Amino acid sequence: MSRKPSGLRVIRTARSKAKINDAVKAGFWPLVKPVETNPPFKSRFAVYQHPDTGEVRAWGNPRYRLEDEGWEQVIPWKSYRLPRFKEPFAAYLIPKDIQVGERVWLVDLIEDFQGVSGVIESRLNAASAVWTGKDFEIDYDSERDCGFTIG
Amino acid sequence: MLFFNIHNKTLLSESGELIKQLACPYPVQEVRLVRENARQVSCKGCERSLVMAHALPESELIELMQAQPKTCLLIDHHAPNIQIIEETSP
Repeated sequence: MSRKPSGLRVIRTARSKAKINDAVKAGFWPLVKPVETNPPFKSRFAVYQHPDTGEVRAWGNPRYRLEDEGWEQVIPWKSYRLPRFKEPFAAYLIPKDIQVGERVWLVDLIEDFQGVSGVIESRLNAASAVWTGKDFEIDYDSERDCGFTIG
Repeated sequence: MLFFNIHNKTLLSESGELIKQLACPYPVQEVRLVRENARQVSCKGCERSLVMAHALPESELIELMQAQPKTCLLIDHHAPNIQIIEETSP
Protein backbone atom coordinates (compact mmCIF):
# COMPACT_ATOMS: atom_id res chain seq x y z
CA MET A 1 0.00 0.00 0.00
CA SER A 2 1.67 3.24 -1.03
CA ARG A 3 -1.32 5.57 -1.45
CA LYS A 4 -2.45 7.45 1.64
CA PRO A 5 -5.95 6.54 2.78
CA SER A 6 -7.98 9.63 3.58
CA GLY A 7 -8.32 10.72 7.17
CA LEU A 8 -5.00 9.48 8.46
CA ARG A 9 -2.62 11.84 10.16
CA VAL A 10 0.75 12.02 8.43
CA ILE A 11 3.83 11.16 10.50
CA ARG A 12 7.00 12.58 9.02
CA THR A 13 10.53 11.24 9.27
CA ALA A 14 13.66 13.22 10.03
CA ARG A 15 16.80 11.74 8.51
CA SER A 16 19.56 13.77 10.14
CA LYS A 17 20.55 14.73 13.67
CA ALA A 18 19.98 18.41 12.89
CA LYS A 19 16.49 17.81 11.51
CA ILE A 20 15.60 15.54 14.44
CA ASN A 21 16.63 18.18 16.92
CA ASP A 22 14.85 20.92 14.96
CA ALA A 23 11.69 18.80 15.28
CA VAL A 24 12.31 18.39 19.02
CA LYS A 25 12.38 22.18 19.35
CA ALA A 26 9.12 22.32 17.37
CA GLY A 27 7.45 20.03 19.91
CA PHE A 28 7.77 16.54 18.41
CA TRP A 29 9.13 13.47 20.16
CA PRO A 30 11.64 11.65 17.90
CA LEU A 31 11.29 7.86 17.78
CA VAL A 32 14.86 7.06 16.74
CA LYS A 33 15.69 3.96 14.71
CA PRO A 34 18.71 2.61 12.85
CA VAL A 35 18.46 2.70 9.07
CA GLU A 36 19.70 -0.54 7.56
CA THR A 37 19.61 -1.45 3.90
CA ASN A 38 21.78 -3.17 1.36
CA PRO A 39 24.57 -3.00 0.31
CA PRO A 40 26.27 -4.24 3.47
CA PHE A 41 28.82 -1.50 4.14
CA LYS A 42 29.15 -1.02 7.86
CA SER A 43 29.50 1.81 10.33
CA ARG A 44 29.90 1.55 14.10
CA PHE A 45 28.01 4.05 16.23
CA ALA A 46 25.54 4.58 19.04
CA VAL A 47 22.78 7.14 19.40
CA TYR A 48 21.86 8.76 22.71
CA GLN A 49 18.66 10.58 23.55
CA HIS A 50 17.97 12.95 26.42
CA PRO A 51 15.02 11.50 28.36
CA ASP A 52 13.48 14.88 29.13
CA THR A 53 14.03 16.95 26.02
CA GLY A 54 14.23 14.23 23.34
CA GLU A 55 17.40 15.75 21.85
CA VAL A 56 19.65 13.16 20.19
CA ARG A 57 23.41 12.81 19.86
CA ALA A 58 25.21 10.36 17.60
CA TRP A 59 28.50 8.99 18.84
CA GLY A 60 31.19 7.21 16.85
CA ASN A 61 33.67 6.72 19.66
CA PRO A 62 32.85 4.07 22.29
CA ARG A 63 35.18 5.69 24.84
CA TYR A 64 32.75 8.56 25.30
CA ARG A 65 29.74 7.46 27.31
CA LEU A 66 26.87 9.85 27.80
CA GLU A 67 25.03 7.71 30.36
CA ASP A 68 26.93 9.49 33.15
CA GLU A 69 25.42 12.77 32.00
CA GLY A 70 21.87 11.43 32.11
CA TRP A 71 21.48 10.51 28.44
CA GLU A 72 19.90 7.21 27.39
CA GLN A 73 21.36 4.99 24.73
CA VAL A 74 18.47 4.46 22.28
CA ILE A 75 20.49 2.73 19.54
CA PRO A 76 23.18 0.47 21.02
CA TRP A 77 26.82 0.24 20.02
CA LYS A 78 27.01 -1.99 17.02
CA SER A 79 28.19 -2.13 13.45
CA TYR A 80 25.23 -1.17 11.29
CA ARG A 81 24.97 -1.71 7.57
CA LEU A 82 25.26 1.66 5.92
CA PRO A 83 22.02 2.77 4.31
CA ARG A 84 21.30 4.26 0.95
CA PHE A 85 20.32 7.32 2.94
CA LYS A 86 22.98 9.75 4.07
CA GLU A 87 22.58 9.13 7.79
CA PRO A 88 22.55 5.65 9.37
CA PHE A 89 19.68 6.56 11.69
CA ALA A 90 16.41 8.40 11.41
CA ALA A 91 13.39 9.23 13.55
CA TYR A 92 9.65 9.23 13.19
CA LEU A 93 8.44 12.58 14.52
CA ILE A 94 5.74 11.77 17.03
CA PRO A 95 3.20 14.51 17.77
CA LYS A 96 2.64 15.08 21.47
CA ASP A 97 -1.10 14.44 21.16
CA ILE A 98 -0.87 11.06 19.39
CA GLN A 99 -3.23 8.47 20.87
CA VAL A 100 -2.45 4.82 21.55
CA GLY A 101 -4.25 2.86 18.84
CA GLU A 102 -4.29 5.80 16.43
CA ARG A 103 -3.77 4.76 12.83
CA VAL A 104 -1.40 7.09 11.00
CA TRP A 105 0.36 7.37 7.68
CA LEU A 106 4.16 6.96 7.82
CA VAL A 107 5.08 9.01 4.79
CA ASP A 108 8.78 8.03 4.80
CA LEU A 109 9.31 4.51 6.14
CA ILE A 110 12.55 3.92 8.02
CA GLU A 111 12.18 0.13 7.96
CA ASP A 112 12.83 -1.76 4.75
CA PHE A 113 9.93 -3.56 3.13
CA GLN A 114 9.78 -4.90 -0.38
CA GLY A 115 7.73 -2.51 -2.40
CA VAL A 116 5.30 -2.48 -5.29
CA SER A 117 5.69 -4.58 -8.38
CA GLY A 118 6.96 -3.56 -11.75
CA VAL A 119 10.18 -2.26 -10.34
CA ILE A 120 12.24 -5.10 -8.97
CA GLU A 121 14.40 -4.13 -5.98
CA SER A 122 11.83 -1.49 -5.12
CA ARG A 123 11.36 -0.42 -1.55
CA LEU A 124 8.06 0.43 0.09
CA ASN A 125 8.23 4.16 0.79
CA ALA A 126 5.12 4.72 2.88
CA ALA A 127 2.59 2.70 4.85
CA SER A 128 -0.16 3.04 7.39
CA ALA A 129 0.64 2.05 10.96
CA VAL A 130 -0.87 1.95 14.43
CA TRP A 131 0.76 3.69 17.37
CA THR A 132 1.22 1.28 20.31
CA GLY A 133 2.43 3.91 22.75
CA LYS A 134 6.08 2.97 22.19
CA ASP A 135 6.40 2.19 18.51
CA PHE A 136 4.41 1.70 15.32
CA GLU A 137 2.87 -1.55 14.14
CA ILE A 138 3.29 -1.17 10.41
CA ASP A 139 0.62 -2.55 8.10
CA TYR A 140 2.39 -4.78 5.64
CA ASP A 141 0.86 -7.48 3.52
CA SER A 142 3.44 -9.12 1.29
CA GLU A 143 0.93 -10.20 -1.35
CA ARG A 144 -0.68 -6.77 -1.50
CA ASP A 145 2.43 -4.62 -1.14
CA CYS A 146 4.87 -6.65 -3.19
CA GLY A 147 2.37 -7.24 -5.97
CA PHE A 148 4.05 -10.33 -7.29
CA THR A 149 4.27 -14.06 -6.64
CA ILE A 150 7.30 -16.28 -7.15
CA GLY A 151 7.73 -20.00 -7.37
CA MET B 1 -3.47 -13.09 -21.90
CA LEU B 2 -2.38 -15.27 -18.96
CA PHE B 3 -4.55 -15.98 -15.94
CA PHE B 4 -3.16 -16.25 -12.41
CA ASN B 5 -5.26 -17.58 -9.56
CA ILE B 6 -3.90 -15.72 -6.55
CA HIS B 7 -5.37 -18.24 -4.08
CA ASN B 8 -4.03 -21.53 -5.42
CA LYS B 9 -1.15 -19.84 -7.28
CA THR B 10 -1.87 -21.50 -10.59
CA LEU B 11 -0.85 -19.86 -13.83
CA LEU B 12 -3.13 -20.67 -16.75
CA SER B 13 -2.87 -19.99 -20.45
CA GLU B 14 -5.55 -18.05 -22.31
CA SER B 15 -7.21 -21.36 -23.21
CA GLY B 16 -7.21 -22.50 -19.58
CA GLU B 17 -4.25 -24.86 -19.84
CA LEU B 18 -2.25 -25.19 -16.59
CA ILE B 19 1.22 -23.72 -17.12
CA LYS B 20 2.47 -24.01 -13.55
CA GLN B 21 1.37 -24.06 -9.93
CA LEU B 22 3.81 -21.80 -8.18
CA ALA B 23 5.37 -22.80 -4.86
CA CYS B 24 8.25 -21.12 -3.06
CA PRO B 25 9.43 -21.78 0.51
CA TYR B 26 10.78 -18.24 0.90
CA PRO B 27 8.44 -15.51 2.20
CA VAL B 28 8.16 -13.03 -0.63
CA GLN B 29 8.89 -10.11 1.69
CA GLU B 30 12.25 -11.62 2.64
CA VAL B 31 13.62 -12.36 -0.80
CA ARG B 32 15.60 -9.85 -2.77
CA LEU B 33 15.18 -9.87 -6.51
CA VAL B 34 17.70 -8.34 -8.86
CA ARG B 35 16.94 -7.79 -12.51
CA GLU B 36 19.27 -9.77 -14.80
CA ASN B 37 17.75 -8.78 -18.14
CA ALA B 38 14.38 -7.95 -19.68
CA ARG B 39 13.08 -11.48 -19.04
CA GLN B 40 14.79 -12.67 -15.88
CA VAL B 41 15.52 -11.70 -12.31
CA SER B 42 17.82 -13.48 -9.91
CA CYS B 43 16.46 -14.46 -6.51
CA LYS B 44 18.81 -13.87 -3.61
CA GLY B 45 16.80 -16.34 -1.52
CA CYS B 46 18.10 -19.38 -3.38
CA GLU B 47 20.36 -17.87 -6.05
CA ARG B 48 18.13 -19.08 -8.88
CA SER B 49 17.02 -17.18 -11.92
CA LEU B 50 13.31 -16.49 -12.22
CA VAL B 51 11.58 -15.97 -15.53
CA MET B 52 9.14 -13.06 -15.57
CA ALA B 53 6.06 -14.69 -17.05
CA HIS B 54 4.69 -11.48 -18.52
CA ALA B 55 7.91 -10.83 -20.45
CA LEU B 56 7.60 -13.87 -22.72
CA PRO B 57 5.11 -14.58 -25.50
CA GLU B 58 2.58 -17.10 -24.19
CA SER B 59 3.63 -19.82 -26.64
CA GLU B 60 7.27 -19.42 -25.65
CA LEU B 61 6.39 -19.57 -21.96
CA ILE B 62 4.37 -22.78 -22.44
CA GLU B 63 7.21 -24.39 -24.41
CA LEU B 64 9.71 -23.38 -21.73
CA MET B 65 7.63 -24.83 -18.91
CA GLN B 66 7.01 -28.06 -20.81
CA ALA B 67 10.73 -28.46 -21.45
CA GLN B 68 11.85 -27.28 -18.00
CA PRO B 69 8.91 -27.56 -15.61
CA LYS B 70 10.99 -26.71 -12.55
CA THR B 71 11.77 -23.24 -13.88
CA CYS B 72 10.90 -20.61 -11.27
CA LEU B 73 8.50 -17.92 -12.41
CA LEU B 74 7.74 -14.41 -11.24
CA ILE B 75 4.13 -13.34 -11.71
CA ASP B 76 3.68 -9.57 -11.70
CA HIS B 77 0.12 -8.98 -10.50
CA HIS B 78 0.00 -5.69 -12.36
CA ALA B 79 1.38 -6.82 -15.71
CA PRO B 80 -1.04 -5.85 -18.49
CA ASN B 81 -1.00 -9.34 -20.01
CA ILE B 82 -1.75 -11.17 -16.74
CA GLN B 83 -5.26 -11.25 -15.34
CA ILE B 84 -5.58 -12.01 -11.65
CA ILE B 85 -8.31 -14.47 -10.70
CA GLU B 86 -9.70 -13.96 -7.22
CA GLU B 87 -11.77 -17.17 -7.12
CA THR B 88 -11.01 -19.46 -4.20
CA SER B 89 -12.05 -22.63 -6.06
CA PRO B 90 -9.84 -23.92 -8.89
